[in-house]
Amino acid sequence: MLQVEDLKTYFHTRDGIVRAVDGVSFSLEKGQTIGIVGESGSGKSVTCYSLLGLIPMPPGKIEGGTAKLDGLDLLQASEKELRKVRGKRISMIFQDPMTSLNPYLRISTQLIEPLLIHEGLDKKAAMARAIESLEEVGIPDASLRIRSYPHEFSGGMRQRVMIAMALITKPEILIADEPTTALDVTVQKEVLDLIKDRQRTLGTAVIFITHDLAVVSNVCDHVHVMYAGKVVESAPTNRLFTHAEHPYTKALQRSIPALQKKGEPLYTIEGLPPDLTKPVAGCSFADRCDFAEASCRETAPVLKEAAAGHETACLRRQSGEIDLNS
Amino acid sequence: MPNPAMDTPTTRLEEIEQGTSLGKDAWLRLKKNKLAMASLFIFVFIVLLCFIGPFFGVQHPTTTHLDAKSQPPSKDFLLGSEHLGRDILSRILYGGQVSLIVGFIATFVSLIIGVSYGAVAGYIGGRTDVIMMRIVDVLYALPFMLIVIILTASFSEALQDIEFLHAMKEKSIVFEPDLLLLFFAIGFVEWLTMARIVRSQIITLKKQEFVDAAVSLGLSHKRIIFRHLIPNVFGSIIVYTTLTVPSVMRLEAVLSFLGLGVKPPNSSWGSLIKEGADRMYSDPWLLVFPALFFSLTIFSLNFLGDGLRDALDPKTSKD
Amino acid sequence: MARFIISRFLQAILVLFSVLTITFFLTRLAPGNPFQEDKAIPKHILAKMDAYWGRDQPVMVQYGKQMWNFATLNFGPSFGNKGFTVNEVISMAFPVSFMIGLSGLLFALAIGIPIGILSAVKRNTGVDYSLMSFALVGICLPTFVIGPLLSIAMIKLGWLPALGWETPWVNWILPGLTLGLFYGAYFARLTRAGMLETLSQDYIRTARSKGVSETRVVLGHALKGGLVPVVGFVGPAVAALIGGSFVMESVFQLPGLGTHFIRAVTNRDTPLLLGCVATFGVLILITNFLSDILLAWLNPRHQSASDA
Repeated sequence: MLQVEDLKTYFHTRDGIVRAVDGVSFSLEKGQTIGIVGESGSGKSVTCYSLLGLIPMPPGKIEGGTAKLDGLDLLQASEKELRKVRGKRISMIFQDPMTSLNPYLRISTQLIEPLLIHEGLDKKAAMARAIESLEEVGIPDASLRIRSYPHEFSGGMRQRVMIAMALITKPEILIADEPTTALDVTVQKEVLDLIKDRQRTLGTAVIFITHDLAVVSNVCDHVHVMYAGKVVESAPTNRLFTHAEHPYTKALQRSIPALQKKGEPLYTIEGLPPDLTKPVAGCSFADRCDFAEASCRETAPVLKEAAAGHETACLRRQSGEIDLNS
Repeated sequence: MPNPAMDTPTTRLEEIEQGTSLGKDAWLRLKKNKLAMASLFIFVFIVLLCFIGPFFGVQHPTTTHLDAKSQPPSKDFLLGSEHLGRDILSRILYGGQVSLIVGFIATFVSLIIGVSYGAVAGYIGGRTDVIMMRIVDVLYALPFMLIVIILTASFSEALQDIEFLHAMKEKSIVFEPDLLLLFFAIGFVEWLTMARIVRSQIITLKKQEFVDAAVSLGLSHKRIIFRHLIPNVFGSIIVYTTLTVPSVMRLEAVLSFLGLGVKPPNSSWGSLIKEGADRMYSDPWLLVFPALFFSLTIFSLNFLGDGLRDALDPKTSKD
Repeated sequence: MARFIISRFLQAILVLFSVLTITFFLTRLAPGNPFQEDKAIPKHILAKMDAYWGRDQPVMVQYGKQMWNFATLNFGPSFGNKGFTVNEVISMAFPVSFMIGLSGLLFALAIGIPIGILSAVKRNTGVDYSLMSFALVGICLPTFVIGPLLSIAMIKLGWLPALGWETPWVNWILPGLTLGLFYGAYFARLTRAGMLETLSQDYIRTARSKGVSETRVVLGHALKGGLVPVVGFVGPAVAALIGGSFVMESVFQLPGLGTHFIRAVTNRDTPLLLGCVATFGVLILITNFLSDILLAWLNPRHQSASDA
């Protein structure tokens, strides 16, 4: 349904060109859930913002690639065409529910907006639908609370409102950008369950953007791991957790505290992600990689199939020099 | 420092005190800003013209030429002459000295009051801070223009009678009673914003560890405030000062325009603009040239202030 | 809300009281006599006049009387305008000043806000740069330069009466426009800054992600937050507009309160001076109060579902 090919989004800043997204490809089928995982700055959010034209331009610029949504190339579409996609066919929820709702407008105003824009409903009908949608995400006294302002809700409740707002038009795709990161741990699971539940009811496909592998293992069918603007590994979720084929993915898994042995010092990946303004000749993870050797710094790796439906961009794994799962 | 263990904190303190790298950095950024550099150039040019220009064959501003009244600009009178035949160019240059002197000294007065007040309030903090800032809030609500007018108009005669000033004003125009009054009247009302800015900066700085280091070295509060904290807010002080000078100059001009600030036989750009406005229908050059000098100065100082802000604090730059 | 209003009101009374006190003692501290004229008046006549007006009483008694006069809104006779009470002078002159100031404020808002919005929406483009340069020119060209230039233009063109107050229903336009151009430039810069701040918020991205049109993003989602700094500046702007109206009276030869005020200061006409200060002071306090209420209304934290 959605086919992204070789997406490139660069930011032209005072310090040079930041290659935030540098040749990312993935696809999404109807009703499927995929995860895009990476550290902050790996380009996972920018990838999704690029699809909807939400990148501030300038300094941002989409330098190349295609993103076909049933034949319509989102990257080439006019602002008018994109507006018809946003909030109707593809919706988004964001990381911080505190700042993502407009504090100056009532919940009702914000909630009915997609209906007024995309479905041409009158206000009354839209209000009825909005109240219904709040009930569906589990907000008590919806008909009363819909008249509130965002500050009268707790963080978790606000994220429920965001979910209701994003799904009110029954979109084909929902992009969830770190939807649980800013929430209390206890609320996180509720919100995840809610998204899964709504997805099942509505048949929506979901793109999960997160840095949290645990979230991915819970909800996603397929995972793309991003590092420094590129996808370095792509695999079905189960397979990724049992047979990671890229040193970066391995390192990420090792740094999940819950998976580490008690009493051992916490594992962290040494070093910092590379400066994206400077083009790297070889593998961009080489400087932090335990397995890197000279050749890794010379040739840029590309994604190649390691097993059925499982791709990795590790040169040494591709050449069979290392085996990460022995 | 005899004790080598003290070495690290002191070198750090010295570095912060001098702040050379920050200053150099800012200067480099400022140099890239063409508008700000052009403004700096124009401003320096106007200042030099006003203070050094009169030594190069310009007539004295009070010399009258009754045979050449109200002349438009010509070879003899580059910017024309007024109804008593006085040369406009020289009046603008001498008037500019007055306007600039008022601008700088009154700003300096406000700077001293504002910086000390803000620094003390921010450094002591707690209740004292609350009370001191509440006073500032109340003062903000006062109709300042009215108070400045009352001050300048009420005390101008009183100062004229002081013998000492009569002697001194022969030596320097700074002691002219009208100007002294302006320095203080304007200085006393312009310090509030500076106090607020300095206070908020000091509060942020106070939490940083080099202050703890200074305290642990046993430095006195006075030394900490004036040697360690204030130098670190120099950036904001410079920016705001650059922006205060034009607003002080505008206040002076308004007062002089209303006949309350600088009075004859002295003149400033404000009083020249007033004279020009009174005769603009017949002799428009009387209005245009003083207004041009005044506006250019205000303009360049504002652009320079904006440029300095961008240079010293890249975070708050325009985009 | 009621507590807020009451505390504001008490504070306003306190400020007004201090301003009047400062003014009174400043004028009494200053040398000079309201009845002094160019030709010397014999000392004993001056003394008699002082006695007639109660100026020979102890300062504190005079101070008490003036404050009582203020409390009863009856400022007594003016020293300088023979045969007129202060109340009469103010009621004649204040409407002129008020008209100028109000039209100046409205012009400023009408000019500044749209320019600021446009500039923020087109940020860092040629449109933005030229609008903001225009605003900076406006800020740097003082009213006492714009005013004479506008009035000379009107004399040449003959569209509007350039000077005076013979035809009040058109005479306010030029001074109002002059003040409006100047303060409009400030409002434009404030609006731009406020709009840039709000337009960079996360909730604007949310609105865009819903397919909201750019016009509605700007006017429906960003404007309310973007106007907060503008509303905050209305109070100080009114105080500044009063000073500006003095200049306008001088430029356009208008019979406003500023002229009386300045003459009252130079003539030591204490009752009229206090009357003017009280009038302007009340005006400033009222606008500060209104702008506080408007700010509170803009702030969603002061609202809840129950207000609906």
